[in-house]
Amino acid sequence: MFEGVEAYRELLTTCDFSPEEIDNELPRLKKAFDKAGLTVEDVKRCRERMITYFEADTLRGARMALGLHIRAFVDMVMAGEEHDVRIYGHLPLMAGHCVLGAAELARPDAYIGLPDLICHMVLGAFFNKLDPLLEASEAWCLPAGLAHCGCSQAKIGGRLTDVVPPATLHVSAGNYCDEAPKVDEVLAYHFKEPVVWCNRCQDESFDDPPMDDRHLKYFSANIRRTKDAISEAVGAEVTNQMIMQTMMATEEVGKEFKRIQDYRAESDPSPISVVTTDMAAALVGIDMTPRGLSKVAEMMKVLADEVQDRVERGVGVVPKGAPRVMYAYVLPFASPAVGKAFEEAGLNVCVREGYGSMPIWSRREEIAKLDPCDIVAGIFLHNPTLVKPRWRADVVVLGYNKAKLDGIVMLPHYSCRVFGTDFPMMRDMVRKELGDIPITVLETDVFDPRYYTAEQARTRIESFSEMVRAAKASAA
Amino acid sequence: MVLDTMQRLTAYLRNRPVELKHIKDSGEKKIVAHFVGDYLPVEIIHAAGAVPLGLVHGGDPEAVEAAHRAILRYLCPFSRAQFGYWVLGEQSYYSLFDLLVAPITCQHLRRAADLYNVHTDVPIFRLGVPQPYDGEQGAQYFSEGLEFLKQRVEELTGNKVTEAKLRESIALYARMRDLLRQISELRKSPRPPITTTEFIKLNHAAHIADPNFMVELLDTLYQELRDKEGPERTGPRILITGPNIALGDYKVLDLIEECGGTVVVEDIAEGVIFYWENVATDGDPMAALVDRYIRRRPVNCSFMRPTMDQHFDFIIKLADDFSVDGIVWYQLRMCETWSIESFFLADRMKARDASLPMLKLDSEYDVADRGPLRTRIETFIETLEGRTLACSKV
Repeated sequence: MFEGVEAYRELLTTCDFSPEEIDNELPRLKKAFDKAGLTVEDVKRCRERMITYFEADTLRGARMALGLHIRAFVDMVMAGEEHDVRIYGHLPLMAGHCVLGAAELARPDAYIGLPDLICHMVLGAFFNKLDPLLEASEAWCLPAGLAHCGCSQAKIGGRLTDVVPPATLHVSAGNYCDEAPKVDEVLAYHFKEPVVWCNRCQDESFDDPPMDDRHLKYFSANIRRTKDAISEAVGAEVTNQMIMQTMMATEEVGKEFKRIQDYRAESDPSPISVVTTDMAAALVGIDMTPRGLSKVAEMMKVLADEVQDRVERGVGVVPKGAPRVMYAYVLPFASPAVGKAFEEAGLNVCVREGYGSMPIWSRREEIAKLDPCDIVAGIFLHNPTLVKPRWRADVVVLGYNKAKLDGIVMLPHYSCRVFGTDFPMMRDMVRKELGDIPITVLETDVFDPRYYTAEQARTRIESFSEMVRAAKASAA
Repeated sequence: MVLDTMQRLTAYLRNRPVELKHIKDSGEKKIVAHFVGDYLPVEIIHAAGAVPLGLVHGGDPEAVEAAHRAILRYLCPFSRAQFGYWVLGEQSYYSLFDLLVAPITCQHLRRAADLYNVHTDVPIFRLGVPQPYDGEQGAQYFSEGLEFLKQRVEELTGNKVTEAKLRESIALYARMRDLLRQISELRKSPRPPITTTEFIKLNHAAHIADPNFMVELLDTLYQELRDKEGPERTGPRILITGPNIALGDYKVLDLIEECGGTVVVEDIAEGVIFYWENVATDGDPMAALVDRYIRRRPVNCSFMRPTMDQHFDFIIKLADDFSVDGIVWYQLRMCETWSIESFFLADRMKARDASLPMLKLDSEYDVADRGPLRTRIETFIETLEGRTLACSKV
């Protein structure tokens, strides 16, 4: 055995590994952690953070989720040695997960993963040790100070530091921002690793949802092209049936996750931390293969049952009667302390943007008749959060009224020309609809923990909390 | 003589806002503005009897600042300024148009269009620009977008865009581009008869002026310049490349000249990208527009994908053709894709047999930029001069 083995055992126990699993996995895990530069001290700190931020001491579902993240990280780092074919999706993928995940059915021995998100969750959120990746990319083609996205920096840093092995094919999200696909071009240009871009045109009308057939057709054709490229890379056809099977597996996870979301939206006190919820939800993006999704669904069911139990016992993470706020759209992965700071300031961060507006599950019969690539395109194009600020604002107003909220927190991701710049416009549009309600636009960085500390955010969060309480009291 | 023609242009442009205001107030014609970048076939707007107006202004820190009430700072200053000028209400062109056409190119200009949607009543038409990797399907998508644009301007003006009118407009703009390229190539001379700042101003004017006036002026200018030689210049010859140099953003060009360099060619949206390739004047006119604006671009801008190999090859060819000694990469701060591309061009240049030095600069349109920019440009020019001297001794 090796020095500090007990710390590793404790970490894995915290991550719900059984004693047998620990014995089996320890050598791989140690090798992967060494490769990523993670020391015994890091392992000890990681365990503490899991308990501090992710309720690992009280929820088995949370421990299972943390374990799935750790397994995904080890699998990714070891993929260079263990798999001949490695297909990576890249953030902000958000469309085509099912196509990518279905590749596992076509080629069961291939590694399919989303290294960006894995690195952010494990090295960022759990170990607080993303800096070496970010700094490696800053010393190369993504210099500091020019608002390069932390997500892109970690992607390039992962390749430069060999934490992420070379890919057989990169699937690039050409459907959202400009930076991610450009950085994926770097993977092709410099590292000579093939890239397929899944593009869409963003010329939809600002005001009129939903998308027209022309947008759908164009995007869907791009998804089909992506599917063909993946089939070629794995050496076997990814069929429509495989994609449908993966979509159904995603839906199983979605059902359990919706239970948790509903409990959070409807219960007082709020039964589970928003930070734990988001950590568990991130697994849908990480384990997108049918095999991975079945484990995520199992974890999500355990977590949902535990949340139900807390609701029945009246247990909560914030005091009963705490002001209820919506967050739009994502809390910093790399700094879980920011999300925690809202709860520490006495706010019940109970619903996420999009609450009450997602039509996907209810339209199952209608969409089941379509080609799976059309469905994937349709789901993306009918998701307001991903498409346009006017629609996002409408959905925020809908969720605000439906969940009877007291305030809204908008969290622009620093450097994101799409996800960051939406928010001031959304704030202005929401105010036109709802009047002078408490809204804060709190700039953070979803991926880079260095520039926005929780302590900086805490001052503004506490001010916002006071503002919400004052508004609530005056309304009463 | 050159001075006379350029003064005539200056006088024309000084009066152009008044002329456009008159056109708008009289209802004589509709004014259709557009974001620049060379993804919009203005020929369609012209053929509909509307006045095409390129929004080319920039370089003004106040306009950038004015946009901050509605947007965060990590859009490029040019895009922020496109909305900031409307907020300030001090730049006539930004309050004169009846329709704004926004080619959806990069996220920065997409956001500028969004800001007009949220905060103004200006009607907006979004033109989808597919990525080159999408091949024929992308071209088809663009072609459909042009048909929608045609319908929209027909509705706006009440005029039909007939094939004959479109051919006339294509021919007119083709003549304009030909003349710009002819004038541009005069700068291959060791003693260029026109400075690049003057030349870029011609390109800016081409986005604002009546195209008939512009063709006549460029023709006169070309006749004047074709056999002339400019003053003798001993400093290094520079190629400037980057996304765009707006009307008013002449700081870097001026500094290069002040420091002894001569900019001989510009690979920017209001330069080579605009005039290097022309629309075919035979065959189906709509197909010819798709061909020129999507398939046969001299440069695919960096927000498209993939672009680097094609772009670098083009820059190297330009550098050879114009006998360039060094490259200045000038981009706007927060422009993420050009920033990434610049790193690899520098790498590619180092890898050439005869490597070409490159200086990367960026700007936030801030007045405080000038001092640091001067220091960097001076050092670069000195390095190039030293290099040229060393080469001549060898």
